[in-house]
Amino acid sequence: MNNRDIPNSFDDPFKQLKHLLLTEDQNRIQQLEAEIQRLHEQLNEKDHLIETLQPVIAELLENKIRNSKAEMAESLAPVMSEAIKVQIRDAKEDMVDAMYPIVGRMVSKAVTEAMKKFAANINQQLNKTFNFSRWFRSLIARFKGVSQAELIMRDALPFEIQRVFLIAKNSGLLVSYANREGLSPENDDAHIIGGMLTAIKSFVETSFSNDDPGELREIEHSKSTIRIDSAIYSYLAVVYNGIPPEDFSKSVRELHENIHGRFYRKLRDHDGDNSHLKEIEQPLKSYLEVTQNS
Amino acid sequence: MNSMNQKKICILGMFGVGKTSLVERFVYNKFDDEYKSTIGIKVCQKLLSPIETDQHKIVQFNFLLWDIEGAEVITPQIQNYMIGAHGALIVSDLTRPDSISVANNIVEAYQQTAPGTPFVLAGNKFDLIAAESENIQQLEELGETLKAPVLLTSAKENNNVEAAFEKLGLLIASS
Repeated sequence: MNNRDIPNSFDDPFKQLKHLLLTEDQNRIQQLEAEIQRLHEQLNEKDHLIETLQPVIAELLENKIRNSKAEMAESLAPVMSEAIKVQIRDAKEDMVDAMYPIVGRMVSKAVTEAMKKFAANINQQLNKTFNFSRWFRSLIARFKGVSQAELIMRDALPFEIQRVFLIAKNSGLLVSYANREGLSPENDDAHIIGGMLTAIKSFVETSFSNDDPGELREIEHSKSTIRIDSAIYSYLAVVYNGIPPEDFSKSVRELHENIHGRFYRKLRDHDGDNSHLKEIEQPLKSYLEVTQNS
Repeated sequence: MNSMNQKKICILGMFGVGKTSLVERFVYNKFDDEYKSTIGIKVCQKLLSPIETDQHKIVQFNFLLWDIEGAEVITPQIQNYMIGAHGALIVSDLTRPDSISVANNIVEAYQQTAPGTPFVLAGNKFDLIAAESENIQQLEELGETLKAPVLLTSAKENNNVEAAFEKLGLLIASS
């Protein structure tokens, strides 16, 4: 500042001195006050704050994720699942487009694995087959009007029997039981399952008796299917996974007919005591073994 | 195969009388104050302590308990659930006289479906009424008419629950 800038009104030398010494500081204070006011507005007013943070928020999150990944995952997980649900609801097409490369790869991997297993099964079938069997298969194929390859493919499809229940038809009490793991019925809740199965069977048969009188023959859930074969005093429930061979129903029927015919009286008089029906367990176990090895 | 003697037991009664509570107290020794209506049926099992019969024979039963949904009227579906039963616990709510009248109808349907098999009348929620209540008298009169034992039970306070099932076991063993 030079003397020309001193206002004429400052006749008082003290005022002149004050002006010379403090004007610069006063100007700086005014600037700082304006700056504080601006920052105050930025922090306290939502719109301003968003505007201020916007350029750095991505960087901030990136740093936070880099430094404490687990902590961020923990905090964001509940919001993420909700956000995904909302996004799927509101922008299904976009989500499908975004997920397609991943899902496509997953499906492709699963199909490849399944095909590998399938091919291994076919190879196994071919390796263990004698020439005579091949000749026999070609005869059956011709008789059925399908190719040999189709027959081999059919035999190679995965199929496994898990459990077999013989249940008293009226009471729903378990008469005999066999399972793949060799567990006792007590350790496998077989008595309760037998009861519930009977209740479900009774419910379906009563509810639909007017429209379609008959008996429940199959229950399907997830990968498992329960095939039911009913006779007068008992019913046989076979729980299996996969696609059953063509003669499966016949084999279940034959097994049951065999047991029912042999133990007809004991099944008719069954009152919950299985001690005199222990012999039935063997045919059930044998059936599991045969179907496992076939 | 274990040679234990299984018996199918039906738990019957009007809705809300405490059938499921009695079963849960007997099987799991637990009680839930919140009322959850049974839809359809729930089957669970309980191995009873060995019982000595009148002929001094020791038997042990594995009770398969069919906890059947409550209803005022016995539907064909409910009656089908009773087929092949070896015994029944017929439950009424001692605070609701109408549930005692319904018990009478249930007994009739049960006897038609599982003739000659024993049943016990349970007057539940005994903890909620006075000992001299008319409802107890009404249930006891029904027991006398039907020649069936009556047990006053409380699933909440665990009174007479096991006794009711043991009584049924004894009746089955001697039938």
